Amino acid sequence: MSQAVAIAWRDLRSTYVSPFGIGVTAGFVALSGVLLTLALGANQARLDGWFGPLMVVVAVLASLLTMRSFAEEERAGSLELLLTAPLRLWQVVVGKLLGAAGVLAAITVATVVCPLLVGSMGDPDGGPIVTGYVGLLLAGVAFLAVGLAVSSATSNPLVAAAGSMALLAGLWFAGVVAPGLGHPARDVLQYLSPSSHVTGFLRGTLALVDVTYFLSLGLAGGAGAVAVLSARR
Amino acid sequence: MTGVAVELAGVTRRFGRTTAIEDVSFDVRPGEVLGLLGPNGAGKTTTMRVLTGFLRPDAGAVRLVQGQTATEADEAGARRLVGYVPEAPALYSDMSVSAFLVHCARLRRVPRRHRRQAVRRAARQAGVEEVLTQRIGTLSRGFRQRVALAQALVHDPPVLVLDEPTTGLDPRQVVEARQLISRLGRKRTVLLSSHLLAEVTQLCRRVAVLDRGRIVTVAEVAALTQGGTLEAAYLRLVQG
Repeated sequence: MSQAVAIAWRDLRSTYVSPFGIGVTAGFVALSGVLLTLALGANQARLDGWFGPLMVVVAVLASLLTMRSFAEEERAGSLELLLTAPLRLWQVVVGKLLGAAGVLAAITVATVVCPLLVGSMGDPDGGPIVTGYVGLLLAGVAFLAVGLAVSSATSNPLVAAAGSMALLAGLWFAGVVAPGLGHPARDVLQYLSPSSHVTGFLRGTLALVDVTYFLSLGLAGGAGAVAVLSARR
Repeated sequence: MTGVAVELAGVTRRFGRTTAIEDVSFDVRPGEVLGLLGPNGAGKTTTMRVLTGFLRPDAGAVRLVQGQTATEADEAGARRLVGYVPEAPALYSDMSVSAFLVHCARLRRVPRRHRRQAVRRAARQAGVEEVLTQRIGTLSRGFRQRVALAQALVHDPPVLVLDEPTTGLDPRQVVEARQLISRLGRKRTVLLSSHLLAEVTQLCRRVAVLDRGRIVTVAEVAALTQGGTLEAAYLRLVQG
């Protein structure tokens, strides 16, 4: 595990010594501010209308963060040094996931100012705010894992980002089109779509099915990344 | 630590329909510097990547043999025995040399209490002590090559795999790099890929010559140069 932590620490550090990391953080925080302004248009001190769109933005963020994880390392040539170290592939993937999750956590912490601001103006219910953040982090880590799987399949960071966004958008829209379909396609697509699993977090509930979904998506993404790296050897 | 021998037996690697190397077999004896010679595209880099576990062979096997114990090269444990300098080593340019070497030591399972000492030793061996605090991105190509060598040495591996280690260096740096490899080769098993015949003559006792993905000979340099130069023998082998 120490090696995975070393990879994570290096990635986290390198993100924040680059303009990319600072720009992405600033962009996300600024966008969360804009979304907050829109969400508060109804003059109610509640944040479910803020967390909902933020989940979609986190999917984009995850694609941007993970495009560097493998694709950029392969493009630069440093992947060769990483994969010839005495590590198992899962350790490399876990290290990359932890590094990206660290960046996601730092960015998420920076948005805490939004609920604090709402709290200073009204009396929002604390439960949905806590579950909203739990959902945001759970969904974010799951999206990062999916992004890692895509990133491991290409040496072009832009292709990796576009591929991750397309895959996550596909999963998301599966939930939008599902109601128009018959059983069992409707149930399968609805289960597969993150959009069906974020609602509970926004309302202040932590449902086992939603937590399990995001953990499963994360595991599938991680396993996918290991499988792709192994197949490319 | 007893010496480690490297054995390649019938190694084949394909990329789609292209066969990069086919039925490659040779061994590197413990404490030997073996030169891997061949024209561009002969399969030298692929051979080295298979040996370091970066690529898996489609057929055949690569083994690291220490005493009575043989390990497949693509096992994580076996990679602990190998230090690798790729042809165009890409280092993390945003890190200082020292931080990069500590990072590599962690990845290569150097215990925490020995890490600083290991970094100092590798830096001394590779001649990068004076730039330890500098950012890698600010270093000259020669120093970057040395840092690449230092990362390969940081876990004190008994086997070194060097892929064209002097490419792109100026003449003075080439001389220094060769002296360094010569020193390192006294205690280690070294596989050195090069297309510079003078380099191979100076550093190696034996060579394996690859052409179009196949081994055409494995022989003592002295035997190849009998009655002529290595250049003449090499041209005969790769064109014949």
